[in-house]
Amino acid sequence: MADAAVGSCATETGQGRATLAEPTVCVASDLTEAGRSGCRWLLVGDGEVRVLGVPGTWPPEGPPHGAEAEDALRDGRLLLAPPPGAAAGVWEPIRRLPLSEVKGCRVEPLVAAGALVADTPGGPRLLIRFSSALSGDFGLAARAIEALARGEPVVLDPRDLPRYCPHCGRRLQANTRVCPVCVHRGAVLRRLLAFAWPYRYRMALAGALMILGTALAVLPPKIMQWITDGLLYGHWPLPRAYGSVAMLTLLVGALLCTRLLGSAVSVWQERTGIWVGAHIMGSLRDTLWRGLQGLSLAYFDKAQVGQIMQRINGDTQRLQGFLTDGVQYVAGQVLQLLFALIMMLGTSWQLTLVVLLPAPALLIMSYLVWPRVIRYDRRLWQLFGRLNVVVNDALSGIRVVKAFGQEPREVSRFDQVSRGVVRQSVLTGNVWATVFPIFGFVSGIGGLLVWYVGGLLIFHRAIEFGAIVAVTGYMGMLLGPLQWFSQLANWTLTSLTSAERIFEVLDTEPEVLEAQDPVDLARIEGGISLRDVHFGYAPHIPVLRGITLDVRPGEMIGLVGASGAGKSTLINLICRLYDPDSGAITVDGTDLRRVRLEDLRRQFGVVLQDTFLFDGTVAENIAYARPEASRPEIMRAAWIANAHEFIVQLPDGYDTAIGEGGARLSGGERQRLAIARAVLHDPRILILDEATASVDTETERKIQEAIGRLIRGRTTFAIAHRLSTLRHADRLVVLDKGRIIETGTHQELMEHRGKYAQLVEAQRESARLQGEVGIGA
Amino acid sequence: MDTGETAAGFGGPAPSGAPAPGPPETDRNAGQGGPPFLDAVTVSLHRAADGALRLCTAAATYLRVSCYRAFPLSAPEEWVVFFDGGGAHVGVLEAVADLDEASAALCREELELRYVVPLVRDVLAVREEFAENRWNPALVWDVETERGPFRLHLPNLQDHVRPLGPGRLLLTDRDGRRCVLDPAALSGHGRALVARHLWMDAEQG
Repeated sequence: MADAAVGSCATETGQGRATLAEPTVCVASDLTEAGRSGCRWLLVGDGEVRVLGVPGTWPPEGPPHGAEAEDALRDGRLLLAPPPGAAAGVWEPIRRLPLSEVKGCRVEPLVAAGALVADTPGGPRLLIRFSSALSGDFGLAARAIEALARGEPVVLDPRDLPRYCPHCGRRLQANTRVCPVCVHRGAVLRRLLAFAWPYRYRMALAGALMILGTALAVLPPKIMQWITDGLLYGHWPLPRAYGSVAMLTLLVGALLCTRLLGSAVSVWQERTGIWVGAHIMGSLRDTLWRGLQGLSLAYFDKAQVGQIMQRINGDTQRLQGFLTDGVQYVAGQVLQLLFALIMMLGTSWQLTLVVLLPAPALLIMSYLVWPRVIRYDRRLWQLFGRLNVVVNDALSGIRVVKAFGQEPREVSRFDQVSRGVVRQSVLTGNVWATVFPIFGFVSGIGGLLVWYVGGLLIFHRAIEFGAIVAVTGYMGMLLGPLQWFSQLANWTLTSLTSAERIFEVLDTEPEVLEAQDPVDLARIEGGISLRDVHFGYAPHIPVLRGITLDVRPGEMIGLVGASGAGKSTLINLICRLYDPDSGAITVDGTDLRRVRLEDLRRQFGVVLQDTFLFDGTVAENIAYARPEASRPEIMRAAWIANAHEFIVQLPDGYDTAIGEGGARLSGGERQRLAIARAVLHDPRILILDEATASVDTETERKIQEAIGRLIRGRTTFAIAHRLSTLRHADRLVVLDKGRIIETGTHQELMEHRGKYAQLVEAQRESARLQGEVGIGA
Repeated sequence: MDTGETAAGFGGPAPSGAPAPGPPETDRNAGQGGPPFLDAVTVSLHRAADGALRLCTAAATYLRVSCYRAFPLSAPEEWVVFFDGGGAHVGVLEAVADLDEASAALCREELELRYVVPLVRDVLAVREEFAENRWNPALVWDVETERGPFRLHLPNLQDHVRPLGPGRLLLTDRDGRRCVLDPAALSGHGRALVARHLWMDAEQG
């Protein structure tokens, strides 16, 4: 009988047809219940969750726009897709589930896809499937359904809604508001210019110098024309014997002077340009850095620090290259082209036309050929990158390679990639070797035509020979930039997009904002209470689900639970590194969101799991939160932290350089430095995150002693995987899957024989096993 | 009420009455402490009334079973791992094909629902998008797969195309959607599009 229901897309029939004119939730999916591409709707209304299927593909009728979804959200409705409208009356619901049966709703991540699952008294029930592109949408839907099932209104952060480009309607990627297709480059340029404004005089100078330099560069062909026509062919009425030589000397001298002057001007101009570019970039970088430091932690979580750094590094480098070299190069080439064209027209319009004949061909070739050449080049770089990876792997893992006797394999791995590099080098080299002669040939055709047409014109006495000389000179200046034209345009566009992305970071608003009129809490007593706090880093993955907890001033709370239970997240919320999605946290009766951030930060102290030591001396690290602390104060803090003795015994004492490239401290020593840092900071509320891990018994005793002194008189939250380290705690709070399941003292919880007792038992067991291993080894 | 649902990928909390996982009968690895293996001869899969999968061995029955591929890319039909509704590891099955026909079909169905990684039948169109960089443009691929049409957005090649042994490529789009592409299996038009846009020779992989 169980086997009878095998059909994976069995539809629910009976119960009449669904009509749902005004759904509270409407989200469209792009996968069918059989995991094929198709279109399904999730609707909530009339106290029911329904899934409708309509033939066709996602999105149903053009993408819904951000503004409409935001408006709907204000009315407590989550509409991420246009409701199927009249169709809703026509199509049978594939599935329906009364809201009253929904106890919870969540997104179950699959591979490249996901499923929305409702927990009901009868077990989990699958509602709808979707591709991974829509997990954000259905995460919101899950939260909305949970709220509706509890009989509460739908309250979601509009910032979590999917964003669409207001111009082209494309769905934007998470974390960005820039549509790469519709980037308004004009606006970006204006903004860049605002950064350039302080350097306007230098910029004007650079511009003037560039015009002067280009003007000087286009003079020589003209002078040559004069030499040819006026002197060699004797069209100028000069006394023959003596005047000509003087004139020749004068003109060649002038030629020399223009070249010399041109070079001097160009050096001056380039230097000015580089100065301006570097300074603009410098102030942009400073602004960017300030902006980044001001952002909340949430931004770094969502966008991942590595990615951010890579993006910002890449973007700033690209922009820097463009601002210092690119602008000058592009402007210089364009100016040169214009000037050469003007001079040529002044010399002979007929020859100018002839020269311009191959220009369209060059432009077209430029657009067709360069992308290919660059692709070949990229491929070569990529192969070199692989070669580097192989070498790096084998060298940094040389012990492993030798230990396992895998040298021959490493050699053959290298050989294989190396052969690829050879092959690609030849291919790429061939392309480069072919492209330039072809460009040369096409431009050369113009030269041939100039001689031919010019010769004819001379026969007809329309021009003089000097015109041919001059035009040949200008031809190079005109056709040269044309070959590179597509690349110049691309360089400019890429750099402006980089600029736009940098501005985007600047425009990101911190999520943890200072309240409009913040409450001053000069001295926090330390009473903290949490009321039904819900939170998730991404909207579709709840981490905390309804935490309620009251902590008296000076109390020490030990947080216990498996990894992923939400301990660190709870701490992050108490420190206000994030704000809860719903519910509230108060300190001394004031909502955390209303307290002045500075007061909060000043009176919260943390001793973190991985103690971060900054580049600097031991003393500077201890005094990180209070750089003005005196030496006796620093020593007192170190003394309390049981760190004073080992510090003094270091050759450089408190002046020992630590951090990158500095002295190596053991894990226990680093932890005691962190404790000293917290002692000096003298916080009212203290966070200990796994303060003792992997240290010997004696060191552990010292750390415990230090912690015992540190927590006196402070409200303390401690996380430790090793339950024995929580012995100072007044109360233990056991978390499981984002909920508090037990609270009480160690004694009470052991007697209760619940989760905590289990954890303690498991840890004793593993400690015993480790002990055995230790003896055996 | 809802019926007839394949339940791949929703393990969820164990319903009351889940049996305590007993030792699977053929435990090749037991001595070495590896994961327990399942003997395909004694294992059968069934669809429960509520659509969830049930796994029966000679010794025990497991409810709300979910299955995973241990080597999803290199051996999708082998080494299937089963978990029960409470998330406890049940055992490893060496090959789906060793199961009886009905069980194998159910197992494949469940796996396909968890791993939405269809094989591309043909490439219909590839559009270059995003003027940001002409030499490494974002590509929008319209492909026809064994599971219907899909559209993939590949911002660049180096991070989104992964060679999978001889001739096959794994495409992962910017939103995490995936397809497996075997250029040799495509139509001439599709092969030409792949050659033009994936200038990446397969032998490199």
